[in-house]
Amino acid sequence: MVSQEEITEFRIDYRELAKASLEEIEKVAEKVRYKLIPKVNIDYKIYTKYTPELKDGEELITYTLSACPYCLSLLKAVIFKRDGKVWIRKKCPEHGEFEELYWGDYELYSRFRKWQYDGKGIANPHIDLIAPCPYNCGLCPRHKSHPALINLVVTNRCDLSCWYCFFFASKAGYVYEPTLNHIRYMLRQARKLRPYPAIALQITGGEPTLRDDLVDIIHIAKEEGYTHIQVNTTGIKLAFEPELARMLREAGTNVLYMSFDGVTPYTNPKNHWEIPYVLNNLRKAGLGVVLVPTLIKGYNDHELGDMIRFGLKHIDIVRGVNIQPVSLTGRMPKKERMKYRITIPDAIKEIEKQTDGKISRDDWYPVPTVAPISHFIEAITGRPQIELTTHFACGAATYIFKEDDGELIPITRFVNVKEFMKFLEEKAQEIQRGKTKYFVLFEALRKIPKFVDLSKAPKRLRKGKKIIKFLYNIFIRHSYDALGEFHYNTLFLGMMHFQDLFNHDVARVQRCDIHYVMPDGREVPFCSFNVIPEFYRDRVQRVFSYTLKEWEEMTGKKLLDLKYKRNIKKLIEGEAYRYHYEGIIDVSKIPYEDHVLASKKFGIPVIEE
Amino acid sequence: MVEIEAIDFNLRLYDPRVLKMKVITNVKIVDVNGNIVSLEPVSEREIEDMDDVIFDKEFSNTLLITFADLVHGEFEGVVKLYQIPENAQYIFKIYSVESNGKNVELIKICEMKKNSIVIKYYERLPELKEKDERIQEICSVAKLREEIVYKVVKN
Ligand code: SF4
Ligand code: SF4
Repeated sequence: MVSQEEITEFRIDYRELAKASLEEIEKVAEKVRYKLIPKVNIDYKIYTKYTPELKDGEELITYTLSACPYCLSLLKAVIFKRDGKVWIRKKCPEHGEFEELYWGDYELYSRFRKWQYDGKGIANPHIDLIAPCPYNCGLCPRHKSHPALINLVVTNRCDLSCWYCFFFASKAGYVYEPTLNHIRYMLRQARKLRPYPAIALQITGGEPTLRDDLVDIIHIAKEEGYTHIQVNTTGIKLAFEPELARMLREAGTNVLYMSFDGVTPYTNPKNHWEIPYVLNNLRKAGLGVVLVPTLIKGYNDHELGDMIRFGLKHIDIVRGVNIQPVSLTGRMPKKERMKYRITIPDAIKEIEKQTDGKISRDDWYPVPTVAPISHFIEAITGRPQIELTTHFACGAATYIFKEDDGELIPITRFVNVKEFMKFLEEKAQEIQRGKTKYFVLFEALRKIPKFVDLSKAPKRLRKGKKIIKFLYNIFIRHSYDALGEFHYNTLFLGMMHFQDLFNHDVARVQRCDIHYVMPDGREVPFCSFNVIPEFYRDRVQRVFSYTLKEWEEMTGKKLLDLKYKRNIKKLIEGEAYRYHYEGIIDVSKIPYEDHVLASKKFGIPVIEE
Repeated sequence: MVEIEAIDFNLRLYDPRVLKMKVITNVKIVDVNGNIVSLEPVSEREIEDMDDVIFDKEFSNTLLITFADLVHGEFEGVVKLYQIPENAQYIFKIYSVESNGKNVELIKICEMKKNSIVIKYYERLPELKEKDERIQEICSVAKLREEIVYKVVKN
């Protein structure tokens, strides 16, 4: 058996592996994979015998499996209703009881639960079934969803040093930066899975734009069959390098995923000043962006409405706002956790309040709501379709149309989503039971208009019954050519609440469809990779890394020299800065000292030359 | 003598989705002479928490039901122990599945090797093909004669 010391000491000489061929990399990865998998009674214990009890005033929803936030032992947990909210509680024999808010609204929980659809699993998993979930990632034979989005970490270097982040190279003590050959191996691994190989890729870090060969990586991803490529970035480099935006676009990047925690320097000290310049450069390059706020209660939740208004103001280039309620890490007492904890329904209700009901709670649906679309198209065409089958509590989405006069119309106001999805699911099942496809298509042709209220549709979709034609094209002709026009002046609003060890639920992670491909060829759900980094992200990346000294010797660069220093004066003086925030906040009211303080407090030095 | 386990269970799930499922596993062997023999368990015990990996090996990839689902739902189940005769060449596990009112049968075939049991073929609920197509595949993968497979599956 491999001991804990062996695992923490074990490293591959990455300078050697960097010269290896694809086949050699594959051999090493296969050998290392089983060595790195977490081991029972060494890495974690199993305490599932104990079932937590309900207390007075609590109503059982279900039991589940979870992990102890302190020792990672596998525990049973109870999910229950109390005071109109949903809670999770577990008890570790070594570390006591942990109770956490799971979902801030039971009514929304019940409504969302009705939309759960499960996936078809993985026909050819990457790893044998040898340990309990979540210590067998992955993907192991029990995983329920195929990947919808593959994350590829291309570096753990970052030009920022945000105070809460332990991931970046200088704090981690090593540089993880896989070679192009190694990246090709990982991308191939992720494409091997059946029945649905991944087609969407997110290139992430650290800060991926720090890699000089980022464009080559995008080319490799294209060669390996990825049709949707997004780059996850703070945008800092793109604010100053318009050429980089153009190169990314030309290489095949579809969209950027850019951190955006608020509209003021107080709430978004990470990239508040640079965002206007990034948007300008993206406009020039014709590259769209999704804004990604991490939401913390009492810190930036009061700006939810403004963040959406900011997205709508720049709808020419902003494709969506994808809100991520914070995951809490470290040993945090319950009182402190409750101070920051915000869940999906809490955010949905805040948005309703802050948009005066223009985007209401009824406009949101859980991710698997759209599974019937895949079922229907698969039944009609006979071709496997991507299915979004995450756990209903993981994410929510809606779609907003902006009229020329500024009026907002969520898609749910003119499409009867509930009845339409019900219809598609029924028809898919009828075809499965042997009904002739042509009868079903004919019925769909007749019924589709009934699911649309033209009088409430956006004006441009009303004209010539355009919306009905779009639906015909998608569902009857399976033609997506006109989708670009459909998306014009629309904003996708999404939410995903990544888990942490306090609200961790094995039922959610087993259904996860956002995965990371690791250098040892395993594919690991996001909420294992980042929630249990000591077993996945950090353990594996350290093994396949350079020491800081090796990296500095090899590149002739100094890690700390690459850190970003902010010239706030110059940034706030630019026209782009004023224009982008105009109508959202009054930038003239923010004293210069406040700007500087916000940046410095966050960990980004300010220069003035 | 080689021993194998098989599981029967009943599950009702309400969260995160509604599911009523009943599974009964029958074990048959095809011996070296091509005879088909139905086996009876030599012992039975209730499923316990420590059976999580055994359960998941048996059902998670084929039925997409995991031990975590059992924890979520109302559940009862037994682990049955079978002794495999020495002249067995193939072991067939036939799972009779009732899932939300629909009935299907799934097959798993293992081959007896000197020191191990090797899985030759198994079926997954989400990708179940027509019966004839499945039997053809079983014959080619397990190198079994069609009439034997038909007999095992039908009887
Ligand atoms: S999360 Fe998925 S891949 Fe990981 S152990 Fe659980 S089922 Fe397997
Ligand atoms: S990443 Fe986490 S929150 Fe998102 S689908 Fe996966 S398990 Fe759910």
